[in-house]
Amino acid sequence: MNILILIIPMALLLGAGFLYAFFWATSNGQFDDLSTPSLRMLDQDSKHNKNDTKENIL
Amino acid sequence: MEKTKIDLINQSTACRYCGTLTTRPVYCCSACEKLDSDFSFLKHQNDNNPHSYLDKPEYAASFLNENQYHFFIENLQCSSCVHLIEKLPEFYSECTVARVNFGQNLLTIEMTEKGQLSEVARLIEDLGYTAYLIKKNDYQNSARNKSNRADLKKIAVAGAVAGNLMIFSFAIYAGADGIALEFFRWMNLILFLPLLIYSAQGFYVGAWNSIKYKTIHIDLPIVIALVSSFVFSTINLVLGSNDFYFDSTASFIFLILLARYFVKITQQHYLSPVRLGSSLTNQKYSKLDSTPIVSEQIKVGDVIRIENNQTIPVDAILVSQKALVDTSYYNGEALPQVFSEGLQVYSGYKNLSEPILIQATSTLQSSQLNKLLTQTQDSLLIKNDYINLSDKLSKQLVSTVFILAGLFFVIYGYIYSYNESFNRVLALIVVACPCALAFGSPLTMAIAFKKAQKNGIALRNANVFEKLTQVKNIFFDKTGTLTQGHLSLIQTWPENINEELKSVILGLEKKSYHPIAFALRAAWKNTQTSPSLQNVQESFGSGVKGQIITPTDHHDLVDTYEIKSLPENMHEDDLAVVVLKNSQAVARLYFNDELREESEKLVHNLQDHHYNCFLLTGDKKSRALQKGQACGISQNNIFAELYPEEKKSIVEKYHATMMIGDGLNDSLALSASDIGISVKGSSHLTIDSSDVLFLRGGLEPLVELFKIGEQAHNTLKRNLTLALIYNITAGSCALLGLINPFWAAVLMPISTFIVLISSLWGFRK
Repeated sequence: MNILILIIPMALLLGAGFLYAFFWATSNGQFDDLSTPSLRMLDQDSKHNKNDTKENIL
Repeated sequence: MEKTKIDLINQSTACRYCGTLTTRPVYCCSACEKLDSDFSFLKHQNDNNPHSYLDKPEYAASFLNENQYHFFIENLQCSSCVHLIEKLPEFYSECTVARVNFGQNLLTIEMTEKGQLSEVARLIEDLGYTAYLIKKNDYQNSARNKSNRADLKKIAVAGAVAGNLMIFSFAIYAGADGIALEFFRWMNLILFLPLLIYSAQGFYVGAWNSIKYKTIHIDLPIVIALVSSFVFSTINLVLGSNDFYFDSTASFIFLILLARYFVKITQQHYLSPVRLGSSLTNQKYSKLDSTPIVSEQIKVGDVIRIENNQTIPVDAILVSQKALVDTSYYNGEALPQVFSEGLQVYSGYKNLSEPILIQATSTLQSSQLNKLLTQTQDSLLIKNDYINLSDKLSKQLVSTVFILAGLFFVIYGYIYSYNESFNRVLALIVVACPCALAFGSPLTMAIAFKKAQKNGIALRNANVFEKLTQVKNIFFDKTGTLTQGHLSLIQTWPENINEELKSVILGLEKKSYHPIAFALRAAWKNTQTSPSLQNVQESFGSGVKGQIITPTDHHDLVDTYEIKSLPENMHEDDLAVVVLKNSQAVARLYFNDELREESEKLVHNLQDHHYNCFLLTGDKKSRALQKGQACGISQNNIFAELYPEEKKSIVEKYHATMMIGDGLNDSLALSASDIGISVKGSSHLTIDSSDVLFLRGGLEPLVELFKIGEQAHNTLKRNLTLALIYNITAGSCALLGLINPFWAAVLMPISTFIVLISSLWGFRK
């Protein structure tokens, strides 16, 4: 039973850690716009690989 | 309806760049076409930038918002548009950051100190987009983001608290003892505090307002349940009893917060980030001596030059001899009109002829257009007072529960003991707290919103669904709503016109902005425009004249071509013209602003369901009658030649109204009706004054809207019934003393789950 005394604060601490991470992400605006980043990811056209990605499309 | 959908899919091909299915050839939008090219169309030159007026320091400063400029981009289509615009820093080295928010049509720009706003504006235009700079004071997104972030954090805390509390409570119910029990008991209290102090803040504000304005708001019982269960549980904790409501209270607060947040962001999605404002602000015009002037700076008496296809910004007197003006934006008149010198023209009119001169008789602020805008804003404020069904019902439920609780407390306490009486009343309030209600309605709304969105219907107001079931009178605008909003060539004489004549006619209309010219260009897409026309003259309102000169050996052969309009009594269409070659009629062309394909079926369908259909238009009586009766609207319900105010007063005469329109002239009526709907392609102000916006063309979404409305209504009713049954059963059990915290913790998730299933079930088809 005594192990609970150790485990529970650790569990709570872990929870608090995740909560903090969520707060940090929210404050950084990661949840402001949920639709555009999914489109941005599809941009294949960064300068150096422009040519080979073209061929992939066609 | 299914059939047309399938037809559309069959016709469409995959865009060569992004793969989106499209009905256009090769690319789905100009962004894809440009991304697939080498960007050589961008001409980097600093001279003659039409936007250079933006660089004036005092002007630029009014747009700067924490080092960022914000643009509202009108025509974002697909992911390629996002990529293309976000490439701005590659094209213009002074621009450091360009970020697009696709959902809200927003572009955020950051620049170095040397960066010029005019250059950015020109680049965006070159890329093929229509952009409006948003003024610092009109930019609401940062405030909105801030409040959304705060909400998210509160939800996160509430969720963490609720989850952990459940685990600790479970340990207690499972029979923990000794030090562990003590530990878990106090952990319950400590964990609950962040929720009480931080997450529930919004409810306190709502409850306080409810007291202040003496109305029953759903937040009030939530706060009472929250606070009393906290006090009761804490007292029990101190006294050594294990009767806690911490876990069940925490989970219902979490669920309610979550449901509310979903409704909020779904609604925000369609509220434009720009406050209700005229699209005529910040537009560039030029004075008589061709110095540029911005629309807001125009003073009474200024003489302004209005280019071809430009909109008149202020009320004014026409200085030029004649002008062909499109007034449809202002009054719904389908055909352009000729104005002659000295006549009054109003802001919002569009010049279709050669550049004209006008003398301002008002400023942008005092123009008719701006008055219309202010009136619309005022009527919008009144509109938000609507009390919806679930609010009304939950008010009744809340009052009943509290009256019951009060009576029970006094009577039972008088007969037996106040202590036990308090226990039972508290169990009643916690269990019967309108959780199912508070959670069920927003959830139903959120699902309905989502479904509407999939069907191309944007809603800006959650009450729409509840009001939909009460609608009896449906008002349609004519031009652009029941009809397609532009002329099309429907008949010619002779039936087949040879290519040569077609190309001559196109040549005559080449420079024209008259609707006929657009109709002809659309109808004869594959015909070349005759290059050999000379001396082309457009005479206002009556026609065009031109000559083809063929040199021969002896003398030049001159053929004079002329297009003249036919008087209205000679045909039954909206407009007809005759083509003359050397004064001999060689062809006649008939034009009509045709009804949309679905209009007639839709109106008949609505009338079969006992809706009263009306037609309101600013256009001529004869045209209104013809179009209205073709749809099956009875003669008594057709009102023509109306001003915006008159449209509004007709709508106001009836109850349970729905107005569907597209033009600026509809905006007052739209905001006066219970449900205002703007169809695709509506003007900005019209969209702002309506509750519903169709993102798909045509009127078909209306059928879908009624269907979703019915589903929402049925689901709401079922949820309310379930909540009522639950509340009565659980409430009586609580009063009989059968409910303890354990049963409360079991019953509440079950009731929530049932409401969730019921809501999803209601929208399955």
